[in-house]
Amino acid sequence: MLVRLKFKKEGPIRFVGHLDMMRTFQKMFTRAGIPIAYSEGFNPHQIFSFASALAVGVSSESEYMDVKLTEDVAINVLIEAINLKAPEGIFFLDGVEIDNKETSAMASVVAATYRIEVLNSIITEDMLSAMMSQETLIIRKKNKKGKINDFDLRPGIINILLKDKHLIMTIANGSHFNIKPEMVLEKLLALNDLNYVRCDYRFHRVEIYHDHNGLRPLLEVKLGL
Amino acid sequence: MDKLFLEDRVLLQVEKPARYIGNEVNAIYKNKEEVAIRFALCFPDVYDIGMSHLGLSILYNLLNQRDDLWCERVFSPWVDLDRIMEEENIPLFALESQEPIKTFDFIGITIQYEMCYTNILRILDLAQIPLLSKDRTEDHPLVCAGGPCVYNPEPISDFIDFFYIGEGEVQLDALMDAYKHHRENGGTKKAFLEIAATIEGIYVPSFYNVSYYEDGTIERFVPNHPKAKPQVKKVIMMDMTQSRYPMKPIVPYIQTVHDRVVLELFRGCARGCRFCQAGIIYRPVREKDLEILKEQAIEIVKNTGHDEISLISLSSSDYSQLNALASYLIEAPELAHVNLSLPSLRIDDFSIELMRKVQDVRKSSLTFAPEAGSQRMRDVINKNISEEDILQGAYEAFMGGWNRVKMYFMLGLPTETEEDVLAIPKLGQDIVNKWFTMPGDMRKQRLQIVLSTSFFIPKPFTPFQWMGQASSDTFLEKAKLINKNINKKNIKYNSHDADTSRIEGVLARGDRKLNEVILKVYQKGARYDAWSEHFNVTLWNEAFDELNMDSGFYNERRRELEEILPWDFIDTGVKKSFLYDEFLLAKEGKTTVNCMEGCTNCGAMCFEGGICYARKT
Ligand code: SF4
Ligand code: SF4
Repeated sequence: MLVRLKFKKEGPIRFVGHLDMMRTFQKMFTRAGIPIAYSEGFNPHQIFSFASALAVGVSSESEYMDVKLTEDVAINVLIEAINLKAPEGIFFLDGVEIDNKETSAMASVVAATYRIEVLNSIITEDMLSAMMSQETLIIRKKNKKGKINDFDLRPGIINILLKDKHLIMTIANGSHFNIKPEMVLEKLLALNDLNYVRCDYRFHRVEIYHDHNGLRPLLEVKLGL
Repeated sequence: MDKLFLEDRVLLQVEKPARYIGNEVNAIYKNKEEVAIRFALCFPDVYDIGMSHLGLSILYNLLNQRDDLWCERVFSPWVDLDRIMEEENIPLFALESQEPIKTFDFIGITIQYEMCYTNILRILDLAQIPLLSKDRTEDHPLVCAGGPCVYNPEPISDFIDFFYIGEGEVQLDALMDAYKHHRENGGTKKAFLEIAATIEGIYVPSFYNVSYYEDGTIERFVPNHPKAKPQVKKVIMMDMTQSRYPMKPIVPYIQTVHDRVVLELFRGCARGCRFCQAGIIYRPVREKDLEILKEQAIEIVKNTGHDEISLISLSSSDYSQLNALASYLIEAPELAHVNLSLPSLRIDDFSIELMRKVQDVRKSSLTFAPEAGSQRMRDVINKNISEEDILQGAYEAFMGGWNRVKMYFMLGLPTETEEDVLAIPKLGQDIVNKWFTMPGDMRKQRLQIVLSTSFFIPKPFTPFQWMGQASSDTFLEKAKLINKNINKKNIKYNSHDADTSRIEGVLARGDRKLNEVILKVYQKGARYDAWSEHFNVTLWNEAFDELNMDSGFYNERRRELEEILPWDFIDTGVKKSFLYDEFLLAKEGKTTVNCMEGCTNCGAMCFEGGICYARKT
């Protein structure tokens, strides 16, 4: 049985990075005693994957993962068992059985929304509209081979607005086209001759989307846990 | 717990911020208003190292079993955070409550290696507590320390209010009961030291005076307080099966050195290698019952979710039930996805068979620690492993599919000659030759042998405690000699840093005069001396020079039997005369049987249990 689970990550655990979250979840599943499937080989590992890595220091209310189980378990039973053993700050909200043919969570992600609290910097509506009216927003970016290339952010910014000192942006995310919220901030500030300082902002991921006749959350909440 | 002491701003600037957030699975949270005693348990090294240490986990569990006490963890902030804390005057805090430790009742430091002494001062300093015991007031915590290094507590006696000599299970409760009672009756922290001094295993350095002869050796070591015991006897847990073991150890978020369940099979070691301090101070061997270990393995995996179990003890293959335990851990259905990792096993048929079962032969390497290259030298140190054992073991391992071998040796051992040194590369070569005696189709992979040498450091409470340590130059010459004679085609050679070994040698057998040196080195900026990339020997050399002291007095000088050694007042149960007899036997190259084969009456029988009695029944 293949399931897609939705969880949130809040509080101090936001400082635990992606690889450490993988290890933390492995242990959590073992403690929860759920029938998780293992890969073959001399060092079998649990079969699960996250939809999208979350950077250190970023909290989220909508993270997704696919988990393979060796037997069928009712979703609410599964979620309850995991929540009982989840580390503080991790809470599973929902899940759904998906069939084997479904594209994996990781491969289907196309965009994500972030809410960024502006703690110590000035960002105005005017700055945003000035940026969004540009045709291209070129930044210098290292590619996978370590070569620095020009890279246009503009097509990746789907939406951006300012609301009560919070910057809310929906941007491209995923394996085809991926931009990071700090790239947008950095560019926005650079256009105004300002420098980006990471700790002037608090990042929170609101949602992750796939493309199902438009942007839809990876999993629509049904259980309402 | 949602509280973080450090601001996001700070956490985002440092490497691995998860080191400082607490909140891990199985971390213990209490209501601080409801506890009488706040205890900061410190490991003076970075989180990743400290969290891998079983002793810390045992103490954390033990102390937190009390409802009236909250024990929290403190580690050395890594150098990046250290710098920020200093610049911004941020006080050191405990991971659980995320509160500064400067108002706690106790700071308890576990000391595993001498090279962390400057980190201890750093912890006190960052906590904003005066470094010297005498400068601290009622407003400050009591600072205590335990662990193997405190078997010679003298070099740090000015910084620590009292030392706990032995195993925490025995007296910590009595100590905490006494403290609580004393405080409830309005007693001061300072006055508590008088009570502590009467408890077995506790050493309060300020209650003793030391006087010296002109040559720097000790003239007298005497109590200056009526409550102080002339001898401090170690306290150890005799019934290991009943000892309280952490069934819910904390599960770190980040990768630590040992990211797994650890099972402690026994304490002590039966072997009696003459250079080994642990082999003496933890005597006698006390085993844990097989059934308890099985239960603990299952339970701890359930409580942590770890996918690996490792067996830890000083010489794990000596566990009398190893076979049964290992088979159980491999076969138990509850542990189907849990690997067994085997530490330094003795190499014999059984171990090789076992290792084949649990390790991926292609990925693992085989480890031998013959410690010396020649048989003569191994007899001197009483390492009872013959050349034949090693070569035969290697051959069988090669036939079993291994192609990687690691070997550990010490240089500068007592009576060592050039021939003994050259025996190290020769042994390496003999193993290479052994490899080539295998049929060709077994030799498809490339053979890789790594020889590592460390420099011998005479330690207190060993038969070599009277010996001089070789100078750094001598060490380097010996290492060079090996390097020149090594067959570089199949053998790689590593050698330890000679300066670190020298300073460790100085600290290990130091006396109270070293307090001043350590303080000075610390003030010069020494941090993380146990890390080669941070260790700066120049600071140590300068400190000795400025204080007009000779470091060679501590490490290179040979002691006479009559000399009062700084640690003589500690009673490990093992008689000094036994150590001296062993020293004489070593010089003659004569070996001594281990405790499993026979009792040589070392004195540890006074603890009335363990192997000293088990063998007789
Ligand atoms: S086997 Fe030897 S070196 Fe190892 S712990 Fe025992 S006495 Fe020490
Ligand atoms: S008294 Fe005998 S058996 Fe006991 S530790 Fe000493 S030598 Fe070993």
